Amino acid sequence: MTTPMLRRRGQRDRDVVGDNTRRDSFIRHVRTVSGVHKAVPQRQSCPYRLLSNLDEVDQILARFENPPSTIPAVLAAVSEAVPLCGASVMYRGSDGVRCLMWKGMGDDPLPPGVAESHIAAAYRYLAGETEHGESALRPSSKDLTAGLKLPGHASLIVLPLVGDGGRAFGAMQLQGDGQLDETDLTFVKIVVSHLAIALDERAKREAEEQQRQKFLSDLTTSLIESRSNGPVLPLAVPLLVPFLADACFADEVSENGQLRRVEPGFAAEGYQTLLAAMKTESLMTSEAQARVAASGTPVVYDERSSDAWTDPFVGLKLQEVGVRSMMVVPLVRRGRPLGTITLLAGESRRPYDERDLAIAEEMARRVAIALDDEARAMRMERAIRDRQEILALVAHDLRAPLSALSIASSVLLRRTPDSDRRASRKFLEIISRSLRQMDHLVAGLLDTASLDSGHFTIRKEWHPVSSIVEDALEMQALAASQKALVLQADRPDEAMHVYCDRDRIMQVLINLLGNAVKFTPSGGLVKIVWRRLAGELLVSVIDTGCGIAPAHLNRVFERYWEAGGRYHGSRGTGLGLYISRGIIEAHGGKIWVESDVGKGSRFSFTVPDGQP
Amino acid sequence: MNDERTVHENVVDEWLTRANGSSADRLLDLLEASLRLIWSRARRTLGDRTLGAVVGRVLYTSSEAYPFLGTLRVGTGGIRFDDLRAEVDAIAPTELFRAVRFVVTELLDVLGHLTAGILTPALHAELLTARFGAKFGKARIGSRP
Repeated sequence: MTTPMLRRRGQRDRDVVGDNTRRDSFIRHVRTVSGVHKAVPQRQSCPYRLLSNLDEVDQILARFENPPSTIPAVLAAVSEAVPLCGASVMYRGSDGVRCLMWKGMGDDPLPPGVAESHIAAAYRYLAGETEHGESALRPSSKDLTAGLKLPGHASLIVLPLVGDGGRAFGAMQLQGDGQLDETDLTFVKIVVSHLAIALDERAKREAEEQQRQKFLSDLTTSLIESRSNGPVLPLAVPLLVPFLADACFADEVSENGQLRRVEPGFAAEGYQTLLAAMKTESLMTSEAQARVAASGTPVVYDERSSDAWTDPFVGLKLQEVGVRSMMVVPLVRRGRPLGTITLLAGESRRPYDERDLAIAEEMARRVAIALDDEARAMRMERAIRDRQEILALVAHDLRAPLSALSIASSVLLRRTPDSDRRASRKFLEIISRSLRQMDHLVAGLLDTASLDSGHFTIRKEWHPVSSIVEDALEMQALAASQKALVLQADRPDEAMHVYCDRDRIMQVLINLLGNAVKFTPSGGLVKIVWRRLAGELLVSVIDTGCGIAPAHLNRVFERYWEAGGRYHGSRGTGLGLYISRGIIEAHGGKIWVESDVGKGSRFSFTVPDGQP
Repeated sequence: MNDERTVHENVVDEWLTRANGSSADRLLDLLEASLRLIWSRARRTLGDRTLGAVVGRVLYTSSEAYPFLGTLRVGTGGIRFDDLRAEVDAIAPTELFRAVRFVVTELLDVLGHLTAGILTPALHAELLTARFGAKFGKARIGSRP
């Protein structure tokens, strides 16, 4: 054999070997027999040279980075052995159909644009789709040849990119600079096959990564939603099946620091036996989980991890019920162990590897955040509940002594001799006023506690609206006259009745009218209007007061919010509008405010009028 | 119709004349034998996977004109005829003759275009030099004298 000489790029190897001579002779023979003989120059390739080039191609593919950089490198290596003046690849990747064009040495025998349209036609034929990835018209072999005329010196080879299961997912087209022979074709075919495997594996990895990202995204969404749907772990565990496991369960660190299994464990369809086994006493052993929780380090068990996997109490029993591999990941947040999640792979799944562990650890990180948030939310809710209970308790306990004080001060005022009354009157009036304020505050706190606990009740009966309004106006008449305000009621023509809790609706009206009187300067107008609107009673309290800034409008019904504390020295409990909203909502209505700063406000509410 | 397809058709016609198939069973035997020969020769260069993908597409497109060809299945070692053989009695011999002529020509045409005609002479020779007896079995099909 002649030792191959170093060649220029693109130059063919001219070494002659005996086998090739016989082969070419045969090719000439059959061409004559078939009647399609072409003027093919006798060229021989050195198979060993081609093997060297193939080795180079495989090294490039082993370092596969991305198609735009790897494919041209592969084609450049191919053109060292088989002269190519151009090539193109079209394939279906994880992100759609991609097309890459490559220009080699020499003149491309295809006119501009023809290579693109031809590879698209070849792709359509071989991979069964249009170049846009749309469902294809039925492909025809005419797609491969329509309108394509090559000059005599050129060869055009098109080969499918074949993936798993013999499925073609693309096509590669190579424009040979000169006539190619069967050895060239074999070499090119091997290269295309290797490239197809590399592209297919890459597409699978990308698809797996996309699935992982989607899994994590869906998991995060579910964990966020779980805040209103219940405890995190029982909701999270089923989400891990079947993407990460065939069966799984979770343990959480309880108050005493011990691990506690969180029910229910969850198994995919077909793994109910495993689920039942998971609940048996022997498999409830949490030794592995305890070690993971304590160390914060995940573990993977399978036939390669001999000790635990051959442990007769857990490992062997798991294998008996069809578990092929087990992964335990810790739930840790702010350095504090919260629990573990155990993932079990059945016979149909490959044993867990480092890719599974990576996604499981990321999953565990997100679950741990949700668990921590859940614990913080529970602590906060408990604190709020405790505060409300204390407030309600204090308010309730204050009411009785306040009543006694109120009665006692009235009696004292009445029994004080006239001679002493003038001197004592001022102090007795201060005591009475303070007691009324305290009574109002205590009543507000008790109503608030009822609303917060969901125990607020109303007793509805039929009442004339005008009667409720007039009583409320009368309650505010004195205060209005002291500020020289006009207090006005715009009555509708029809007499209206409403099905409501009279005292509570009057409480709302007194609150709204009281605020209007409080925040309207002397000489202003406070007006109340009501009418029927679409099966509801609509009541509005309108004033010509200072108004409310737009930034505060959506906060006025919040608990303890108070805008007027600094206005005219008035100060309330900050509970009036909050309680009013609770009362109206308990009636099935709604309450809102419109306001212009400096011009006044309009508080409105609706109550279903109760008419059939 | 392009020139190369005409050449393929001429070869296929010559092969059909030599093979002398008239009954449906014999035509099916002819088709099976011819596809086996073409597969056997082409796989030396293209390998099972690449060839399987190409043949699969040829059968798929051919089944538009001859739906019963859709029952042919491409496996790792060639084409499986079991399903088509079970249905052959329901196919008119003239229709089967046209289908055989069409699909063999189509396969030669597609392989020719995909391989820059490199395999065409060998495949033609494989077809024309085969000896077909009255009954077809693997042992009685020879690719060359």
